Parts: sequence; C-alpha cells; structure tokens
Amino acid sequence: MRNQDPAVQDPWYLKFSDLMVHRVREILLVSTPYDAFTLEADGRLTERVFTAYHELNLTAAPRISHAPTAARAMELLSQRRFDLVLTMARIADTDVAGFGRMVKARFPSLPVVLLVLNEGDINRFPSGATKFIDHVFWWTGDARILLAIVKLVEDALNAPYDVEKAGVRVIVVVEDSIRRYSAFLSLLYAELMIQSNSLSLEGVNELHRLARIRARPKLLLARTYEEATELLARYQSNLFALITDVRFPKNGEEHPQAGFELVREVQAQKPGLPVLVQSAEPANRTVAAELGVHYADKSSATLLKDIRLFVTESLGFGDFVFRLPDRTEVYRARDMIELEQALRTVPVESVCFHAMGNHFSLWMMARAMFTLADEVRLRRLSDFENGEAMREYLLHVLEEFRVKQQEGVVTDLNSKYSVRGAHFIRVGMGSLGGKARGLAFVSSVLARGRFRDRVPGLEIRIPHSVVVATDEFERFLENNRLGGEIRTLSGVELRRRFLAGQLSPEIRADLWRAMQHMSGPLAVRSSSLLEDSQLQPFAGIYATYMLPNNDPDPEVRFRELVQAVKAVWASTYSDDAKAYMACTPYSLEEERMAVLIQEVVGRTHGERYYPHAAGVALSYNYYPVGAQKPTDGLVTIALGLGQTVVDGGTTVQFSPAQPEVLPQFGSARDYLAYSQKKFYALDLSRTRVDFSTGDDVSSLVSCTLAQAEADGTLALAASVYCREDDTIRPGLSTPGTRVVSFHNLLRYESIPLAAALRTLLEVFREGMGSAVEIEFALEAGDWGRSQKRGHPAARPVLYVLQVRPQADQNFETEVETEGFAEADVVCTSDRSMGHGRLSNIADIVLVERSDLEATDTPGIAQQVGQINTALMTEKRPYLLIGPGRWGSSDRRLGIPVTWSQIAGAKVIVETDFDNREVEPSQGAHFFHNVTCFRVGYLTLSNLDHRGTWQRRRLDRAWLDTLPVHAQLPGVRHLRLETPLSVLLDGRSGTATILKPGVPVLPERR
Amino acid sequence: MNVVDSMMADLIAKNPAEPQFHQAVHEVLESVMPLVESVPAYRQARILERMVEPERVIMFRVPWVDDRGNVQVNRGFRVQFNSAIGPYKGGLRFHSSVTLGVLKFLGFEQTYKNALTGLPLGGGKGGSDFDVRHKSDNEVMRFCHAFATELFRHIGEDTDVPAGDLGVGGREIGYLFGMYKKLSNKFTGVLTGKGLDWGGSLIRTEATGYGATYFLEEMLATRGDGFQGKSVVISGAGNVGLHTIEKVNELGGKVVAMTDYDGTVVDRDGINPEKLAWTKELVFNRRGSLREYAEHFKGVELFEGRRPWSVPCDIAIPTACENELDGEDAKMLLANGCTVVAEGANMPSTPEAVQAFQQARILYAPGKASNAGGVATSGLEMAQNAMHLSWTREEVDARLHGIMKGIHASCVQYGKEGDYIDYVKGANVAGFIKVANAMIAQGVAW
Repeated sequence: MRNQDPAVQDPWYLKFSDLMVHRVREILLVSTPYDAFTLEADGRLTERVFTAYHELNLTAAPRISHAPTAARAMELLSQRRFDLVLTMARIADTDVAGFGRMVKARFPSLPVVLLVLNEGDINRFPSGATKFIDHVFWWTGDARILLAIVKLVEDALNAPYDVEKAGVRVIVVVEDSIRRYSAFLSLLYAELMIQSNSLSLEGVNELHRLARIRARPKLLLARTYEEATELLARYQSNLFALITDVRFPKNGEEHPQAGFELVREVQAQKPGLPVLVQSAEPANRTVAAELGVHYADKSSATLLKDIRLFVTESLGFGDFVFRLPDRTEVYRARDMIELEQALRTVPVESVCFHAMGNHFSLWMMARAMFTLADEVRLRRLSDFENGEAMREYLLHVLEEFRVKQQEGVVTDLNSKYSVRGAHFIRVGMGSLGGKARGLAFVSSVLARGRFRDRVPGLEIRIPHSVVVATDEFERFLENNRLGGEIRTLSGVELRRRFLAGQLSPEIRADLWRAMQHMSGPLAVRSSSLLEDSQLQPFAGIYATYMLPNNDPDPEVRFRELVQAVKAVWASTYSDDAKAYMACTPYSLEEERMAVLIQEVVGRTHGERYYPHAAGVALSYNYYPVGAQKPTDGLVTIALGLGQTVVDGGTTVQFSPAQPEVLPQFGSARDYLAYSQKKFYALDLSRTRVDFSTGDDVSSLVSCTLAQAEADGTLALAASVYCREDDTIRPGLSTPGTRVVSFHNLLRYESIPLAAALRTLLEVFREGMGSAVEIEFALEAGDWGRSQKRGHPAARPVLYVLQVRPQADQNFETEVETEGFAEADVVCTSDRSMGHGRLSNIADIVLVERSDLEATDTPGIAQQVGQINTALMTEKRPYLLIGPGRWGSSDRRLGIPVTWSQIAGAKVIVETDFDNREVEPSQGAHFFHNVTCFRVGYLTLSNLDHRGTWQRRRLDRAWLDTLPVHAQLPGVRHLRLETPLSVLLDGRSGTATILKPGVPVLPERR
Repeated sequence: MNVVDSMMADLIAKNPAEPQFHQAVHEVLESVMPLVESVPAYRQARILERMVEPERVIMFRVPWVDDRGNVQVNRGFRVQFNSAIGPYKGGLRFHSSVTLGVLKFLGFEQTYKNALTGLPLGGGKGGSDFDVRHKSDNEVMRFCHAFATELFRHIGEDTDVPAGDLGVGGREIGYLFGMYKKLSNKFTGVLTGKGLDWGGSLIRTEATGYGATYFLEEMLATRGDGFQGKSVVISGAGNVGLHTIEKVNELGGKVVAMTDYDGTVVDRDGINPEKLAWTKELVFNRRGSLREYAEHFKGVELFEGRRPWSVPCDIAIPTACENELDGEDAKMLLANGCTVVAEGANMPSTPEAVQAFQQARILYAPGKASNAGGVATSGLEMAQNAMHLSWTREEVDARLHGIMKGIHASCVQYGKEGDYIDYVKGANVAGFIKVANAMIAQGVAW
C-alpha cells in the first residue's frame, strides 16, 4: 500500500518495490528463417533464454515471438504489445535501417536492438548504433547475450527513476567494440545477478529479499568519451563503479588514452571510486597501477575470474574480509549479522584499516543499504577519538539499522535477522489470522507514520509479538488425530485432548528460538481467520491466557507457553464459539486458528504486574452526550490491565476530541459513586496456569487503589475526593478518598494520550476504510518519579495491542421512526444503535424489576439464559428488555449475561435502574458483538438528562396486559400472536418499536 | 369549596404550570389551616396569601462561552421567598430540569425548614438550567463566573446567603465565591458550603448524622429515657449513617445493623468505635462494601438483598434514601418492639409507614425535623464568618447539639397531644408560627 500523505514515509522496501518498472517481457525477433535457424542451432531460443534465466534464479524470462519479414513484424507490433525488437542484420523485405525507421516512426520509445552474426555485419555498424537502432550486439552463441541485451535495455529505461526514487547505484561501462562489450556484458551481468541474488538472502522476509533484488546496481553502456562523461555527470552522486576500455572515440576520433583521461577525471571528482580498466595492450597495466585502479586483460583466459574478483572485492559483493594493515586476513563475515558480531571482537587495527578505505560503506552499498552506506562513508576515522570509538559508532549504527529493518514488518523466523531486534515474528507457514494481521498492519503504519513528530512526548509502538501461523493449527489437528469427533466435545474433555497433543518438532524448535528474546509476562491470544473481519469480529469468543512467565527454569516456561497455545487452539471448538458460529454464515470447518503471543505491557511491582492504564478507543461513539459528536469517537480507560474494560467494569469514558469533559462525573460525589475502585494485575506469585479448567483469567488478581498507591502507579490516574469540601483535589498529597479520574492525563495533559489516540483513530480509520476499535495500554515510564542525575528519563509509551474494524452500519435504506401515535408505540428512543426494520419478533423477554441489587442480577442472567435457550431451539428471535448495562461482569452495573445467554435476542432495550445511574455500555466485547450481529439496541437511560423525555419511553402498562408464555421469578416471557415492528434509524440514532398491526411506511432506498 | 381548595384555585390560576409548587403549598395549607382558622390575626393579615407569594423573584440571562468558542445562553434564577426571620437562605441548583416552579416549591419548603432550626434564616432557592454534567472544568468555571456577575448584586451576608444543592458542589461554590469577592471586593460569608481553608465550617459532613442522634436523644428524654441499653438499627452506611452510629456510640447506644447495596449486616455485639473506625476506612477510603465487614468480623451475618427492618431493635433510623421503609416494614418494626423512629434522610418512610407509626403512637420524627442538622451547620458557618472566627469541632458540635434541642422543643411545643407527641404536626406548625409571627410583627411591608 502506497501512501499519498507526505507526513507518512514509505519504508525502504516499499520504495524498492517500485523499482524496475520497465521490464522486457515480450521480444519480437525479426529475422530471416536462415538467421533464426542459426540462432537456434542449439535448441529453441526461448528455452535457452529461459534456462539462462533459471540458472541465475531470475524469474519472468521474456517470451520471444518471431517475424520473418518487416511487414509481418509491423503487423505483429500493431496487434500486441512488445517491449523489445531484436532484429538481425538481414531482413527479407527491407534493410535494417529502413526497418528501424518504420518501427521508430510508429513506436518511438520501443527499443530496437540489432544482433549481428559476423564481422561483415559489424563493419556495417561501426558506431554500434544509429538513429533508429539503439544497440548493436554480437551474437556470441551464448543465450546469456540475450539476457545481457534485455538487462541493458531495462537498466537504461529504469535507471533515471530508480536512481532518483531510491538512490540505486550505477556502474558505467565504457567500451566501443561491439564484440568486446557483447562478450563482456554477458559475463558482467551474469556475475552481477549471481551476487545480487546471494545478497538478497539477507532480507528479513520475502518482501525484503525481492526489494533488494530490484535495487541491484544498474549497468549503463557508453561507447564514446562524450557518452561516458555525460553518464558520469548525470549519475555522479550514485556512481558505484567505472569499468572502462582505454582506447575509444573521443571527439569523433579513436583516442588511445581516452580511458585513462576518463579515469583521471572521475578520480578528481570521486576519489576512491572503484575503477576497472580493461585493455588488450599490456603497457596499459602499468598506467592503471600508477593510477591505483584495477586492470583486466581483455584477451586473457582469466577475464571472467578477473571480473569476479573485481565485483566481489572492489564492489563489495561477497564476504567482508577483515584484514590487518598488512593484509593478513583475520575474519570473514558473510552477512550483516556476522559483520556486526565480528566488529565486536576483531582487532581495532583492522577496524581502522577498513574504515580508512571506506570498505564498510562499499560493502553496504552492494547490499543496497544506501542510506546506511552514505552515513558511514561520511564519517572519517579522524572524526573519532580513537579506533575504539569508531568501533562503537559502527556497532551503534548497525544495531540501529538492524532494529529499523524490522520496524513495521513481519520477520520470518528463518531469516537471520529474526529474534534479535525483531518486533513481530512469524513462526510457521500460513496466515497470521485476523488479530495478528491487524497488529502487523498497525506495526507497519507506526513505522511509517512519523508519530514522534506528530505526538511529541509519547512513544507509540506495538508490544513484541510472535505469531504461530495457521498451518501449524491444521498440522496439529492432523498429527494428533483430532478429527471430526472434537466438534462434539466440550469443556474439560475438549481441552484435555488438545493439551495432550504434541506440536511438530519443527515448530517447537522455531517457537523456542522465537521466544528467546521475549521476557516478562506473556499474553497468548487467538488470531483466527474469521476474527476481526469487517463483518464478524468474534470478539471475546476465543480464549486468551496471561502467563506470568516467571519460572526460573526456561524449559518450564516454554512448556507452559506451549500448553497455552494448545489451549487457545482448543477454544476454537468451545461451546461459546459454536454458539457464536451458528449465528454467522460461516461454519466451524472454515475456521483456522493462528496464535498471537505478546509481551504483556506493564511493569513488575512486587508480585503484581500491570500497566499504568489500558483501554479501548472507538472511532464512532454511538451515544454522544453534550457537545460530543459521534464521529469524535469514544475512549474507555481503566487503571491496570484492560480486563476491566473488557468486562464492562467501572472505567472512565471520554471523547478524544474533548478529553477534559467526563460526562459520567457531573459532581465531585459522582467520582465516589462511579469511579474505579479496583484494578486488575497479573499475579506473579502464581507461576503455573491451570489450562484444564478453561478459566482464562485465573492469572489475574483484583487489587485495590491502596496497592497501586504503594506501587507508585496511582498518581497518574487518581485524584483525591475531599469530603469536607466536596471537591476533587489534584494529586495525592492531600488526605482523602482516592478516586480514579485520570485528570493528569485528560485535564492536565501530562502525557498527550488524547492527542495520540485522536491521531491513531484517524490514521487507522483511513487505513482500514472504516471506523475502528483500538485496544491500547499505557506505560508512563518515569513519569512522576524523581530522576537520578545523568540518567535519562524513560519516556512514556503507548502500546497499540489490537486494531479492528468497528461494526459496519448499512445506511442505504431509509427508515422512518417518527410520526406514530403514542398509543401505537411500545418503546421509543433517540439513543439507539442498528439500522433497518424487523418484523419477525413476537416474543418479549422482560426483566420485571428495576430495583435490582447486585445480589439479584446473576440469578436474572441465568433465567434470561434459560428462556434464550428455549427460544433459540424454536428459532424464535425476541425482544429483550431490562435495566442497566447488559453483559457487564460487574453485577451492580447490569445483568451479567454472557453472549451465549442472549444470542437469540434481536433487539435489546436497556432501561434505568430505579436506585442508581449507570452509563450505557460501549467498548466491551459484549456490546461489540451486539452491534456486529446487527442486534438492535435501544437505551432508555436518561442519564444525560437531555430533556427529550418524550423520545425515550416504554409502555410498561401495555406489556403488563400481554399473555405470559412463561414466568420465572424475575423474568417474564411474553408471546404475541402477531409480531411487533421494530424500526431502527442508524443515521439519526433513533428507534421505535410498534405494537402489532400498526402500519409502517415501506422502506426507501 | 373549603378554604384550602379556594386558596389553591387562586394559587393555580396565578401560578400556572408549576405543579411542584402547587403540591408543596397544598400540603402545608392542609396541615396549618386549622391553626390559621383559630387565629383571626393570621386571617386578617392574610398571612397565607402572603406566604405563598415569594418576596422577590429574579430571573436573568446567563451568557457564557464554551470551550469551542461558541456562545451559550442559560437562564438563572433566585427566588427570595421569605426574609421575615433572617436573610434568605437556600441552595443553588444547576440542572436542566430547573424551572421557576421547581425553585418556588423548594424555596417555599426551605422557609419552614430553616425556621425550625431556630436560627435567623429566611428561605430562598435559586439555580439555573445549566447542566454541569457534560462540561469541562473551565466551562463550569466560566458559567459560574457569568452567573455570579448577575447574582452578586442581589445577595450578601445580611441579605441572601446561597449554598450548594444538586449540581452545585464545592467546585461551583468556589467559582461563585471567587467572582463575588472580585466584584464586591469583600470577603464575607455570602455563600455557605465553602472550603475549610476559606471559611467553611467543621462538622459539616457529620452534622446530619450527629443532628439526627441529638434529636433522638431528646425524643427519648421525653420518656425519661436515653440511649443506654438501647439497640439501634440504621439503614445506609454513608456519611449520615456512619456519623449517626458514631454519635449513638458516644451516647451509650448499641447499633446492631447497617446496610448498603449488598444487603444488611447484623452485628449483635454492636458496631463499637473500633469497628466503626474500620468501617469508615472501608467505606470512605477503600469504597468497599459491607460484605467485607461481615467477612472481617466474627459473629456478623450478612443478609444479602435484605433491608434491616426485620432486625429487632428499640430505635430505627432510616438514612439511605426516599421510600426505603414501607408499610410492611413499619409493621415489622413495630412487631419487633421498635418504639422510636427518626428519619435521617428526606422522606425515607412512605405515607403508609408514617401512618402505621402514628397509629401505633410511637415516637416518630419526620426528616424535616430530625435531619435539619445540615441546615443548622450552614447557619453556624454564617455565624463563624460574621465573627471572622473558626470554631473548633467541639464548639460547632456543641452549638449543633443546642440547635437540635431547640428544634425538638419547638416540635413538642406544637405537637404535643396529651401524652403523645405528633412530631409531624409539631414540625409543620413550629416553622409556620415563627414565620407568621415575624411577618405580623413587621407589618404589611411584605
């Protein structure tokens, strides 16, 4: 994905992927049948070209079409697209020059290359080209000449753009002899391809490897002094090397020393540039030596070896050979990793020797690491205090480079780059799954987005992550014979079977390696193919395990990790997952599970581990209050681990556009009543997790604010309620009740969290093309701590844990929710979610009491679940009505149902408690699933006191007249003979439920 | 048509669309009409007709600018209802439901509530339809400053002394006071509910609980009795409930039950001072629930989801919320031997419960009498400001005690019927008579 926003910088591998736009894929060979026969003396030309490409590991060998005459050639040219016309000297129906003229007249940019077979033909084109012929080549009998022709044509076309776009390097070859350069370029290109291919293996992943190949040096051919100087001037900044003959035309006449003049000119402008002089005149060897340049004898049998030596030693391809000043070899580094390792230990004299010769820079240049090469080249040994300082500098830039290489990319484990410095590693083959894919996208966006400039004062990144890709899931099922029968298992038995299974040895080894540099507690999460897709988020359906990861024995830690991976796989077939899947168009067979392993964000505080804060940010706020706009979004945040938010517990909610406004706290006393009192931390005293119970939060412990204050983490989140004054005081220095307000973040902006979330929501909304939901955690670094002198403060870091699309609302149809007589309306609200019309609901499940206490709500949840099961069996969707925040795990805030207990509800109406006020739910998994399954949701809560009393009401009296189908102690199931009509207008956020038989207007599109 | 109906018809005609005000007036008329009928001077002075008309109503525009730079306009009110016995006194309410009718009803009731305290406090109420709920701190501040720029010319320590109410807490009082001080160039007790560091009074948070207990002590004294050996049941475990327990302990009583949203905790050994201190830490600092009390202390039972009225006791003190004690609860209390009920909240007993208590002729005190401690402490704050002094806790507590004794005495004076004391009647009449007599004494100037 290319970004048009100048604030966003494309990473190098994306820039490189844009290179070599011009490719020769289709060649039109124009020749007499006899010449064609000559060319194909050893077999079909196309196959021989293909073989030549294949031997060099090149892809996409061009296809060759044949035209026996100029007329036929012109006909073919007008019918199809060709990238190159290759013509022989003799054409049946015209001469070459005439043919060239014809081609250029109609296709001025189409290259025309003449291939000559003998001396006579060469003599007819002594200058090697004409106005209508771009190049003349000698047919050497080796199909590699065609590769050279193709590559030369491509390089000539691509060089201007590639150099400007990505700083690609250029090798200028000066040779006027057609025979010579035909042979030489074949050798040189073959060698260049071999070297480039071998270097590309150093990439962190396939994308990097392909990008490196495209950034190989380009060869440009000059046949005269003037052509050469023009090329050298044009590409001076990107010159990689000069390979030149000695005797060639200058000012229209052959000059015996033209090459050396050229060399001197180049050396004056670019001293240290690698130069190879080729000549058949032995005396020129001496001159070359005097000039300090390499020399190759054109007529020597060792010419290829000489070229290879030049390419590997002088151009930096091949191993980096550490030598002492006396040229004694001390070490060979095959790649950047080995170079970095060697640099730590080789004698400092060797470091200095190579630094003075710019060898490091050259070597990096060969690997297309242009920015790094340029940076290193600019630093001279004299810039440093001593050789050791130079060594430190080199190690620093190499480490920075290594880490940067892996920013925003998924590193394949088999790359030598992986593990060290990698932020995101893939283990195994297959898909990353929805969650991990979203995270990889986040990583790439963060790497490119220049967020340090956009949000100064706050680092934004993802936690270190490892993904076991989906193929291993399938292999695990197969190897452990977990076939169709597991779909009938559930609970303990299901987990037991999975936990008893074995990972493949390869994945075990790979996972072990990948985990070597992950430390601290780990979150092991599902990342299935169907998770977090646009339509079906599967949020909260599969398991997540939090591992303390603190056993002193690494084997024990690894075993626990493997068990967690298996337990996550097992959750694919859990009862909740099956119930959920039944409500989607998908089947269980289609699901594939990858597993995402992440370092848990936070710090250790004794036996507790948790971040300063965690939460969820939404692009779209379905319940804006006051001056909030829906498109401003909504953030829900809590002290400690994000489980509080996931559970729908007590949190702080704010709009990122107006963080200083906290609607849920209208008065100081509201902080006492409605603010967070406890938080979740990972319990580090438990070194083992029991996976057999399926309790995926057993490692979490509920902690008090006093504990946070003792840990030093409360100050960022809390203020003090002063009872005597009935006010909220900033800071914790005054006595009084601690209340979680996040004033330091939201009101006083001590860390620019709101600004960061605003930016992230905007960026990801654009990137994903829809409203998004971002899960995040905040580590405040050294905020609030006194700093030791000389020690830089640790910066606060905002970690993005997940990004997924918010539910998509289909607003294409118009739905009218107003204009109905009061007597016809069961329920109406101007705070609703969902869009469309439902006319198949004839069952109502009503929670009778609104004065429920915390002790009552769990029982109510069970009763609702009981009725839900019966209705789902009968396939009867229903309207659910009850007080508080549905799905909240805090039984005081609402009815703590799980998704499976209300999966059959098609509309949910949330009423007020009589005896307390509760903000409507947003951001919890439960609510997220409700919207994604297009369950209509109405709230009749008057919490915002907007005064639109008439728009939010429920006709309880009418409900009391309805026939009771089933009565449980706190829940009534009512059944109508004819269905209700439910009208939901997602655009205005209004909804009306009409009594049976009330006519409605038809839908309009 | 009887006198009350006739008066109501006139009232409704003159004050249309103010149903809350009509309701409040009707209730007072019903209870005081027999007295008025028996005192010709009241009829001649047309006391009732004058009392139901506010002395002054100030309605004003409050423009302010929100955080986005948009101009907002709200409406401000100050209903100065009655100043016969002292400067107007009553809270300010910022809420979208505020209307003139609501404030008139509240101001009307406040007059008699304040009169009952025995302090020189008139009655008033004010506010705005501004909703603090979705506003930033800066927006609240700008609104309060804008509100004060008009209000300041109508209030003063000897004229009208507003306080907080719904939507007006310590923060808002601070902002209002800051602007008043700026405009008037005076530091006076023009507002109550101020911060402790700048003129507020100690004991404010404890006052309602202490006050209710002092009132109870007086109630028991009418029988020659006291708290010693008495078992007490309290609903609620917030400010009022816990401070009531504290004072009951001091006076020798034993609290055996208290409640919160988890249910009722019964501690038959009594919630002694040590346990109370633990509970205060639990509730005020940790904001935990009483379930933890039951888990922490031996021999304590938690009855989940249950109210406390089935626990046998001598004294019941509802402090939690409105309508928490209904007719059935009242019967249960009576059956278990409860002989004294004093309300620590506003209208916690339903009309059926009140009727049951009165029919049983136990000692029953309505909230307007027994929970007047809060109002009383406002008056004490004004007194301290006037003297430019800050009293100690003991001083304030002692004065509060005196005030509650005085309220009780007034209720007895006007509520005693043989050996029974009708505190409801006593409270209603005591307040009315004080104001009525003051109005007559001051002539037809108002």
